[in-house]
Amino acid sequence: MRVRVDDGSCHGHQSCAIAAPEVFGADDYGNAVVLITGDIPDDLHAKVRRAEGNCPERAIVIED
Amino acid sequence: MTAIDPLRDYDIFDLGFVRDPFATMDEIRESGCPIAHSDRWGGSWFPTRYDDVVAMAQEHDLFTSREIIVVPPADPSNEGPYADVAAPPITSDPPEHHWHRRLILPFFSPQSVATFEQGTRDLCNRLIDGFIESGEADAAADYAQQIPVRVIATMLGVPTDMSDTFTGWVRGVLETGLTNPEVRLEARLNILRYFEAQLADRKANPREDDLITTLLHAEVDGERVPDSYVIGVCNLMLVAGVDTTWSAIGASLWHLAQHPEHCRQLVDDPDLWGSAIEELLRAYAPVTMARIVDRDIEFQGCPMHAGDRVLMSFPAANRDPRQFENPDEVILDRERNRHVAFGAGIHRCAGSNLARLELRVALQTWLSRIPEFRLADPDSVTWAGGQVRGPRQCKVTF
Repeated sequence: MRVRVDDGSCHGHQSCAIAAPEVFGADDYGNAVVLITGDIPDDLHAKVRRAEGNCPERAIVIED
Repeated sequence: MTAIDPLRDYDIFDLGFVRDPFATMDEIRESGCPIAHSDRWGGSWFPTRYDDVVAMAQEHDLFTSREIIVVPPADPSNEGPYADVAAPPITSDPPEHHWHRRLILPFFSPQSVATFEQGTRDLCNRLIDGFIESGEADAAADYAQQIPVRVIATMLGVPTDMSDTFTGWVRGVLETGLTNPEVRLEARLNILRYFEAQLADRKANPREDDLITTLLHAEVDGERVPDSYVIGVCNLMLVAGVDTTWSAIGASLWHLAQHPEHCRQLVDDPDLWGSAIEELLRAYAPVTMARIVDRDIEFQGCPMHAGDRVLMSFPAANRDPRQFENPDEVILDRERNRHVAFGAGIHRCAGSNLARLELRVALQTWLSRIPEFRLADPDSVTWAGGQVRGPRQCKVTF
């Protein structure tokens, strides 16, 4: 699994970082950044899916 | 049963609606016309479905933020020198919105607001010290109401002993003043005069690590930002940062007082806090914003005209069963929760990270000291509503 944030859609709710703090963080303006480059470890997949399901802007893109 | 037809004549200031808006929202949402219209209070549209509210929030060029108060304001010519002071960036539209917002976002990033956590916890503990021995408290007036105003004052670098005065001004704008333009204007002018004096003081005596001083020195395209912008930001932080968060804290305590099983869950499982805070925000979203329709358009079959007012009812969106399973149930570990308590799109609440921190710390500190409590008298709880909904008197015993 890989994950990215659509910069045009993200408006900095930080819902992803609450659901999966190991995977998502914030830049200086509070917009989401992905902290893990490359494949997401298996044990974090459920959290990433939860992050995707909690983003009001639907800005999280999961690539399985 | 109410005699008011919610589809054609809803009244967001009706006491029954303020106390329980959800039945009316459900009735509108499940009717053939989920965007209601009422001529009351200057007239407005009232979307109740999640998808409609989010689409309108994201279409900021069509649903503008020229005015964001749910009732038309007083004649701006009464405001004298302050007529051009708004509350940026919440009242801004693109293109200015971009820099209006970008300058303040760094103050509210998760990293920045984390510096307020310990001070907020200490404040909450001091408040609880004041009433814990008595076995009773007003969770709204003695606790929730006292927290955000002091956090915001600290952030703005203004005296926290002005808190009661600030609270009075904010209520003048967002509560009593909503239906009374003269009260609203007076409160607004008090706020703007106060911050104009604060700016003058910072210009004479610059301070380090001070939000107002930092903004006064900010430049956009090589030019200092105007004072009206800085005063406007201070105005926004006070008006938007106090009533809202206090309402969320109060409503959450009102809920927990009636759900001891939720109190136990939160005490037993600290990992629950992240999703629990989001769920409480979803279920008790305090804020309804307004938008002004930019041009004549048919939206979801509704003939909207330029200048029409739209109520962005985030509370209604957050209870839409098309988006949320069992929307009226508080499920602390809800798996999918795309709630819009903080809005959506470019006007997403800039202070949301601070609001969440305050809500979490206020509830954690309360439960650590008062793990079991109940409403003293459910019928005596009073609510404010209209633009910001939350309990104003909420007596509990423990």
